[in-house]
Amino acid sequence: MSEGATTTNAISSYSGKGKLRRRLLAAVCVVVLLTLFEPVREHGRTMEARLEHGRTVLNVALLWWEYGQLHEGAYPPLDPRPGVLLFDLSKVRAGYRLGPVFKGREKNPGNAAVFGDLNANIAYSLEDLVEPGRYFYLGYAVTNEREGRSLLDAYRKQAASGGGFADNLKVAMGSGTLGTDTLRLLNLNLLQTMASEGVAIDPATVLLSTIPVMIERPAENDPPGGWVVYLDRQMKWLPYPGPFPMTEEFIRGLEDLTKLAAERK
Amino acid sequence: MQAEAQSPQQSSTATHARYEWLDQARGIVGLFYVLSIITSSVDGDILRKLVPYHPTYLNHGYAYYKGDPSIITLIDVGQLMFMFIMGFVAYIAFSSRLEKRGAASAWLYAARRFAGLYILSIVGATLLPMLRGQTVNWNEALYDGVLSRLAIGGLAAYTAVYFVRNADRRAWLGFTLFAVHAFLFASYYFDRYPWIDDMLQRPKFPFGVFNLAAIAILGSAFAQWFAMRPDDPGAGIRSRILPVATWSLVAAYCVEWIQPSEHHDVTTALALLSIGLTGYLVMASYAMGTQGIVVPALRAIGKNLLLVFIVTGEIVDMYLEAIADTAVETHPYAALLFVGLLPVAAVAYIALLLEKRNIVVRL
Repeated sequence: MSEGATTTNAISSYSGKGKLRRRLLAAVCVVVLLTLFEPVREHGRTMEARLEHGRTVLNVALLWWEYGQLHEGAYPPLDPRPGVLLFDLSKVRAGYRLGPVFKGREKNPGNAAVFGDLNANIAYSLEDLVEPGRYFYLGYAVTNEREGRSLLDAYRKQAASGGGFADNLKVAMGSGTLGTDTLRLLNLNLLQTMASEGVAIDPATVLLSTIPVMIERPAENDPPGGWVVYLDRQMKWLPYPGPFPMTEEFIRGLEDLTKLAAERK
Repeated sequence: MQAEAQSPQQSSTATHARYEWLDQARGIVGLFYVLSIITSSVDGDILRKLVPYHPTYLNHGYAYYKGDPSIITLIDVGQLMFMFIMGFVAYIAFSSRLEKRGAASAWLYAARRFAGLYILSIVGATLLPMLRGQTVNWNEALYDGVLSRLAIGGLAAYTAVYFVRNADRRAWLGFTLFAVHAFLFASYYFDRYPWIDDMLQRPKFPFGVFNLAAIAILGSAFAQWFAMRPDDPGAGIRSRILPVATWSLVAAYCVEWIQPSEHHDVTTALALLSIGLTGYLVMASYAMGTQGIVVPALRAIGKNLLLVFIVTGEIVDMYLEAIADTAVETHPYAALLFVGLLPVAAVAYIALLLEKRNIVVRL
């Protein structure tokens, strides 16, 4: 083969001292690499945790997405109990996630998933997929801070009057969904319905992916922020404070609304 | 198997010797590729207990479980080993042309190889799916498919051989690229393979081809170490190939604890594993060559690997798509015969026939 290879590649003669020096150098290199790697790895762990939350949020979103498919695009209404900012769980299919191996000592023995002999475990216990305190489900279509503020006020009034959240809500002109006088219930066909009612909608700027449906409570995460799922089920992680709906005012307003539940108790 | 008394260098081309033991090593990787295409046609669905009866260690781990960390099998390292051998061969072919005919000839050869593989990749991932009414995958055509990865990896090897003439330095370059990959992969600044990561909306990064290029560069270094002393190939094996291959295996084991293997993005742990395994495969094949031990079918497959690759990827794949499910449902014997054995026998027969007629399809 090539002579160049031999000239550029002479076999090193390893003296004892040289060998030790090489080994020390290699050890130092490894230690330096691992030290430099640590902050990157830590950052990666944060991202992994974020993705893990994202997976759960996505699974929760599938529950109301399925409801929407079965109800002509309409998403489940808000829980009628004041301060419970979650979709009405009684109206959607129950969602579970796998818990530890089922040992038969659980309080509710019905909550178990049987997988036959897969993985040598006869059954796994099931845990509720939806943790009520972890998300804000908005129930109504809002696209900006002004409409969001309007939703907070309207919710508070509706809760005080005991009117429930199964219908559209009348608000001041310009502060309803897309600048109208009505906060509209979330619906996959929202834009078409509004357009058919004569509301001027520019399909180039108004997209289903600009209407938030569910927000992960940001304070629970480090760094603060959370996943937002939009009407078309697209997801985005937004920092807190950040752009709508992750603004300080809107999130604080939502947090205050959840206190209504405690006040009623 | 057939044992023939012969020299490890049995034949030679116009520019360099053709190593039969290297063809045999390539043949092993080629055979595993054929087997992986066969087993991937009968994946089943473990969660639904649709478990086809085939050797699961001869299929990709992600065929059964898509998650992080991944399940890794022998097959998951196949493409990487193939890339290593391509880098090994790239050094032999490129450096001999460089030496005997000059830089222009060497680069012409490199450009021809690159263009050939790249055109095949584009045709395979765009034109053929278009004709079949399937979705065109440009990512696969340009940088993420097997052929485009091989093309880019090969080009990286030629470039490294030309600009970094010292094999030790080239090996360090390869290992440095592994480290860079590990850092970038861990950082999550770029989109990784698992689809769920798309939620983070990160820009794409060609993780797979990045480390495959590094593997090819290391393959070229191994080839140069092998030629360290033309009169004594054992010298390079003793002083470089054996220690580097062994330490790569140790490093692969250690890195696995920090950043597990992932097949599509070719994480550093998997890349290191491929260096170790292929290093040992090269040594074992060379030892067999010195003893005159030849498996004709493997040698034939190795000689016409490109053709085997294309025939398997297109024709065998279409055949399996048409009959695999029916054969598996009919009877295990039918599955074994029509899915498990017939395609392997056909590919080996074609390769032997071509070898007999002295036909070698190369770019």
